Order: sequence, then C-alpha cells, then structure tokens
Amino acid sequence: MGTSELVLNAVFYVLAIAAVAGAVAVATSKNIVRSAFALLAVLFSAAALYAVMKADFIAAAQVLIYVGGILVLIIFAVMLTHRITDVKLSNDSTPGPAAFCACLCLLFSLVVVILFTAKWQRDPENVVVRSEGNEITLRQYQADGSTGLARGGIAVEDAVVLEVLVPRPATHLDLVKVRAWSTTKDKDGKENVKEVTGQAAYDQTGMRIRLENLPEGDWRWEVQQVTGGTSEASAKPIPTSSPSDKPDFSVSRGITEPVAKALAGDYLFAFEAVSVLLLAALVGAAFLARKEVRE
Amino acid sequence: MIFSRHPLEHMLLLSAVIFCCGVYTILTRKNAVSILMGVELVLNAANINFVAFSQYTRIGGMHGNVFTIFVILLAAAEAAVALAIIIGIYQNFGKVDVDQADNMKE
Repeated sequence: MGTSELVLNAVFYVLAIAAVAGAVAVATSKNIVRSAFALLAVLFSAAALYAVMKADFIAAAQVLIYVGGILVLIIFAVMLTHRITDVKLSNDSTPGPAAFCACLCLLFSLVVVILFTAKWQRDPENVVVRSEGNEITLRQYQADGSTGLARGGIAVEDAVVLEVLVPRPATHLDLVKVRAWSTTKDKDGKENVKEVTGQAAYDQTGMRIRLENLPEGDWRWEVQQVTGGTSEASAKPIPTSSPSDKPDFSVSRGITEPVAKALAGDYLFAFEAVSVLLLAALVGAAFLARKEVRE
Repeated sequence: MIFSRHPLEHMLLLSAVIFCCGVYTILTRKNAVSILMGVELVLNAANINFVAFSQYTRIGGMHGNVFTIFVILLAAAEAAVALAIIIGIYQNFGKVDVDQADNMKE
C-alpha cells in the first residue's frame, strides 16, 4: 500500500467517525442547539466524503446549499422558536425501547445486505473481435482494475486498465499491442490526436495493461497484432465490429463537465421542473411565514 | 477491511449508520425542528449512497450524481416550507411539539 493510499484510508476513517459521531449526537443530544451544530458536523463530513469520492461538484453544492442554506435555516428556526434559556425543555424526546430496537434491526439488515448478500462490483462488458480464427475478447476496467467500465462510460481518474483475452490455442499471435487514441478539436477546428500505446507479451490467456496520465477527452482503443518479431512495421490493427464514431470510454477530471452535460441534456425537463418547484416553495414559504394583519 | 480496497462497501455502511440515526431521530423526537434534522440525516445518507454507486460502479454514467443534485435542491425547498410551517405552528400554539399540534385550527 502506497503513501497516498494510507492517507486516503486515514482521511476516510476520520471523516466517517466525525459523521457518525455527529449523527449520533443529533439523535441523542438533549440540547437542540447542540443537535443543530452536530448536524453541521455531519453535513461537512458528507461534503468531504464527496470530495474523497472525487465528486467535486457535489461537494461544492453540499457546502453551498446544505451548510450555507439549509443549516442556517434550521438554526434560524431553533433560535426563533425557543427560549434558549430553558435548554432542558427545548429538545424533548421519548426514547422508547421499541424505536431503538427498530433502528437496530434496520441497521443489522442493511449491514447484512451490504456485506453478504449483494454483489456490488460490476463486471466489464465483453467485446469480441475475430482475427484469423482467434476470438479475442476486449474488456476495460476502471483504475482500480477490478470494477468494469461500461462501453462509452466515464472514467473519473486519469487511468484505465485495458484487458485483452486470447483463447488457446492462438495462432499468429506472438505479441499483441494496444493502441488507444483520443481526438479532440481545438478552437480553430484543428484535430489533435493523442495516442498512447502499451505492449505486452500475452501469456496464453491474454494481457492487461494500465494506461496512466490520460488526458481528458473521448478515447477509443484497438488491439494490434504483431507478427514476426517486435518490429513496429509489422503491427497491424485487428478490425473491430463496433461502430467507429462512438468512444469506448471518456476521461474526465472531476465530474463538473459530465454533470453539466447531463443536466443540459437528459435531465433538462427535470431541471426546469425543479426550478419551478423551488420558486413555488419560495412563494409558499413567504406566504406561510408572513405576519397576519388582523383588522 | 481497508477503505481503498472496498470503497463502495465502506460508503454504504457509513450511510446505513447515518440513515438509522436519522430514523431514530424521527421516531423519538417531539420537537418539529429536531424531526426535520432527522429527515436531513436520512436525505444525506441517501445522497452518500447515490454518489458512491455513481462513482464506484458507473452503472449508467452520471445519473447518480445528477440525482444527488436534485435531492439537495428538493431538500432546500422542503426545509424552507417546513420551517415556515414550524414558525406558523409556533405562532399559533406557542410551542413546536408535534404531539400537541393536533388540530388544524384553534
């Protein structure tokens, strides 16, 4: 385990402990002001956890809306509806054994489902290409190398693992070479082609190569067959059956751009509906909280 | 279990704990503001799940992240309306105990 992994683990556990402690304090504290500030700890830890999960935009939205908006509203409500001096009465609760048992059972069943019954890791899709009697299977994984990356999926990290499986007995395949390329157009419409290749001798079953430091963009990759030694000239691409206009995977630093594309594309109607709903909620809240004029 | 080997399971366990704390808060509190805090805990647990599934499994691209944004927005709307109602209850009853606010009009 490298240093960065150790740091990542430590950061996660610190944040997890802060979040759980805050949540328990919200549930059990006798003082409502203390509950409100424990909620602050939970919301901030959640924002940091989103950052750990590389969901940068969500982390920023969490801090802005939850911590800056909702929590301030809640603290306002606490201050407006209670005399802070009678702290003992402010956060009454009826802690019954029934509620506690129900929550414990819920937690237990959730833990059992999470740890033992469900299979969370996603297998990669297989793409089969044929070349001279060999059926070659292509797979792509996320940077961790164990979770599949769907065709056309988005890799948030700048590394992907590409796998080439070759069945036995393979003929005319001494060496396979993987070529991945990305075509981006700059402002003048000029095409920039970035190309990364990896090469490995296959060991009867296939090979896995890890491409690192990939620039952002849409990527496609193919397998090249190298016959008769390792010379560059003899590499020839194995034709794929998939259409060539769709990317095999995309690389994106952070999720802001893909989320923006989704919000402006697939979710445009939902986005507009939510904005109308927010307006309605604003008007409704102002209407409910207005001072009634008695005549 | 180490986080970097099983990140998804860790996030799911964490959100399960937060979710149960939220449910406990909703079940036991009498104060309407505290119940609202419990609802926020439950929503945050769901958000952590959405983002974890979206980031660590990539089932369906960015859908989980977009859902989280919608949940956060709806939570904001819900909090604004709920707090307006709570202040209305406080003006009518002088307290915000949900056990005693049981009639629509005094």
